[in-house]
Amino acid sequence: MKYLLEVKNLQTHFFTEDGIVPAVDGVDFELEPGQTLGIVGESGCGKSVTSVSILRLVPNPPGRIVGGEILFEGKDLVKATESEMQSIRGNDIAMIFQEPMTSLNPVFTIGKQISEAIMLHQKLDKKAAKERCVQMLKLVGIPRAEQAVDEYPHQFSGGMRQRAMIAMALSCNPKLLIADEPTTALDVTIQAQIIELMKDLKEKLNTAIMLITHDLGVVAEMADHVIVMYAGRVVEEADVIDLFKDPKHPYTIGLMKSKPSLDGNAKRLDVIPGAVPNPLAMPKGCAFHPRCSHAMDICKEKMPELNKFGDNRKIRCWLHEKEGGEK
Amino acid sequence: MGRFITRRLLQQIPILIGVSILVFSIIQLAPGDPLASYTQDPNMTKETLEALKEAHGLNKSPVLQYIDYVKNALQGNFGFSFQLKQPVEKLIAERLWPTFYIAFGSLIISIIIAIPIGVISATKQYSVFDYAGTVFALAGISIPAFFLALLLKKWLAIDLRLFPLSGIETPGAMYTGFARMMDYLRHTFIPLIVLGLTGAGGLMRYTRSSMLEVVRQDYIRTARAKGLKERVVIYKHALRNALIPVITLLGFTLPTLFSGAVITEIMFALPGMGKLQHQAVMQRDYPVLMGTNLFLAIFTLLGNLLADISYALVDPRIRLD
Amino acid sequence: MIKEKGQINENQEENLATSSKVESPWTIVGRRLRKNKLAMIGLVVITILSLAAIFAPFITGIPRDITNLANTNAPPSSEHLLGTDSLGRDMLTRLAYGGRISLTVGFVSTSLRILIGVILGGIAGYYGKGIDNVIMRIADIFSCLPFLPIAITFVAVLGPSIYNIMIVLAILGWPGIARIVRAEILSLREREFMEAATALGIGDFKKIVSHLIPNTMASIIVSATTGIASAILTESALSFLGLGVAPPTPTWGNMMYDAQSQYVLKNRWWQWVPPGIIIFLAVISLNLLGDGLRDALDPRLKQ
Repeated sequence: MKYLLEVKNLQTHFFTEDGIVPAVDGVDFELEPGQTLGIVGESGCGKSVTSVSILRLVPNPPGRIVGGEILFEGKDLVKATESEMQSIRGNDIAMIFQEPMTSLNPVFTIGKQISEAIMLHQKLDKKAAKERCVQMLKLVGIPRAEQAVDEYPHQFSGGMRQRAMIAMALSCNPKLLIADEPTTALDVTIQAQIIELMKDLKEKLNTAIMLITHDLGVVAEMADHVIVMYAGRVVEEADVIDLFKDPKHPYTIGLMKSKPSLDGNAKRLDVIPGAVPNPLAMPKGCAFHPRCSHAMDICKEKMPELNKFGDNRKIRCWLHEKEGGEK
Repeated sequence: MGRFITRRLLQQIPILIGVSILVFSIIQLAPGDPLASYTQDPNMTKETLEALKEAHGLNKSPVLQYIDYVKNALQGNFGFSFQLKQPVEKLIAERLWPTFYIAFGSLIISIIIAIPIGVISATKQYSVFDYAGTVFALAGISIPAFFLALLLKKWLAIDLRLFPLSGIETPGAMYTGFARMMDYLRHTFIPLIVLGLTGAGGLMRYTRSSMLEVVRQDYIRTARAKGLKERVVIYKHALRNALIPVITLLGFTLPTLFSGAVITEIMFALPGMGKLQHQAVMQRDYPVLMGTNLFLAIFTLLGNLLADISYALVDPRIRLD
Repeated sequence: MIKEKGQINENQEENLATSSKVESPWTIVGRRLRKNKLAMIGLVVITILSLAAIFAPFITGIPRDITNLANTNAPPSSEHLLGTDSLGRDMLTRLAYGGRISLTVGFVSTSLRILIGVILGGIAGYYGKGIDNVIMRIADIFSCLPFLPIAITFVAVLGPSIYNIMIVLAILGWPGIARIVRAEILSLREREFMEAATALGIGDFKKIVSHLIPNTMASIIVSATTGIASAILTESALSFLGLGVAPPTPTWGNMMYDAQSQYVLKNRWWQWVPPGIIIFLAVISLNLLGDGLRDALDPRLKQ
């Protein structure tokens, strides 16, 4: 078994009053143990829904996984029972969320919230769990960890709370850590600290990371492999160096161009025209064609397949359909 | 925590002064003579009447009368009922506990009914249970308490003869201990159920919407992502947060609670403050009216304080500020 | 010429087309409300009750106060559909007339309450600081008064009349509205359009009236609907206890006064069950309508 996580044709739809929203519509990717996978895309492209689908935490109603497989160490999580999921969540797969300010329960101490998972999964008693908790807080760089365990979230700053979230997520030595925009809500200086911390911990603990972000800088900094999502589908997949050196999909190219860089001599930033399409009225053909400067007739008619290029690269685009694509 | 309570206690003082001025002013608006029962007495001479007026400070200006009232009240003297010929504080002391019993007994019933149903309704939103609960809550809010009391009285007390019609204990039975407690319970069953049911409606709706709000929060997702059992997520992580606004609401319901107690005391002849007040209204016994209103307002304030304290106990953000 | 005319027509058509697409907020609210079955049932019931009250003289054609000592306490019959009361007056007729008083008390006292609440809450929220503090402390004082005991005292002191009931309901009920208005204004005054108004040199009073009050309308309408419901409940309770509107003027509450006697309770259901049910129907309809309005005005609150 080569992969820690294999997602095959995952489909998560939301059944709203106005119609069905196919937030994730056939997503495939793999993740090796210890690897860091970046998932990038604009907001609304389905990257967060993909991540909560893996933990089976899609709010239901209105959302539901309607198809596909999520193989974690060979076991299909889509078919797992709720109690099987409970023993996986926080234990084998842990998650950190975007909003450190609201992701911690305001009425319990930091220590209590972290030791809850430790007691549950590691079967430690209260005292041992608290010791482990202090140890984790020290590991993520929280000063005065012994006092901090007994403090409440509102006594922590945003950066400190995200550190506590990371401590909580890593407290049971998960094999996979899903980080959903872990730095987006933080100040720039704190962002850098958190990235450093995550890189550091990954070295120490050898946890595989699924990093969801719209920040290409964070991806370049941390990821080994990247998938780019658009409108609920993967449009490009490549190793991080290849992707940055030679982005292929027009959407990826657009994303790269809209990122400011220092060597660009104050060039105007490019923007991708238009916005993510209304999920209730997806355009026919390739979902990106209304915003694509290379759109051809076929793009308006038929959705391209996600084709393999070489060993580690896949592209979903008619432009690259012929050049050596193998089906 | 101690500082928090002290601060809240101090904040109540101006409110209490305001309430007493307000109640005093309402009573001052009353036409007629507080000594009416004496004036109608043919044996009363003008001189004795004047002496009585003087003794009770009735010749002074309203402002001075108020100051006198406060001075006396601070020493535990709340005036004299000319109709019942007894000091007001004594009358109130006698009638205090039935009112407390009815008000807080029904509150407990409301809580026991409302909070579990509200929580289950929220966790099973749009289920049959949720719809039934919502209809029940709306009916509870909308039915006049006295009408429900009449219906239950007719059904349970008159037709089925399960409960006594009125009074708080069987006259002359001289029960003691447990038997006496059961006798009280039998007599007050209908009033407690009526107020418990009508009070439960609003509380249930509030619990439900507060719970629905909380289960959408990010920290609930975090709790689930930790692998906690759904039961723990709901009853530990969500409920504790959902109860914070519910407790605030409970503080605000206290005045309503006493209103309900007053109606049922009158309807079921329970010897509480409401019944005392009703008598006082009928006999234009103003010192008693002043006393009962003031006491009920003080209890409301104390109730609010209690709500504040429980609020602080569940919400560390308040406690530690 | 003809060509030009054609163009104008086309333009007009275009205008019409766009104006029908952009719905006014009230049209949207109306459409959402019509979708809500329970709210519509509430609206229908309360409309029927109001119409019955307005056209009370035509319901049975029997005069309201005419007594008939030969036919007292008669059970329902084809002549008196809901029987007669202890003075031989027709119950159904009095029920219809009673609606006039009960609904008027609910409506007028709530209007008064809103008037006081909006003015004081508006002043407190807009001017803030000292004025805000004073007004809100006074609101605190009023809201910790035990409602019914104070209402009873008030009515006992001033005498039981429909006007005194309306006044006491308004005086005791304004703090709730004032708090809503104040809170809305506090959050609104931080927003950009208020700065824009200041920049345009619009005066304080005009700012409150033309910008802030419309923004609080939604909360006030919802609060008013449920407020009428609770005013009807309070009036009926006071009148039932004999402390509200005095006979012979009928209200739904004072018609049930006789049921305080055990004999009436046991043997003459038609003298207390119908008014009780009507109060319940009126109140639940208003509450349903209020809930519906809340959901329609602010879908974010819908749960």
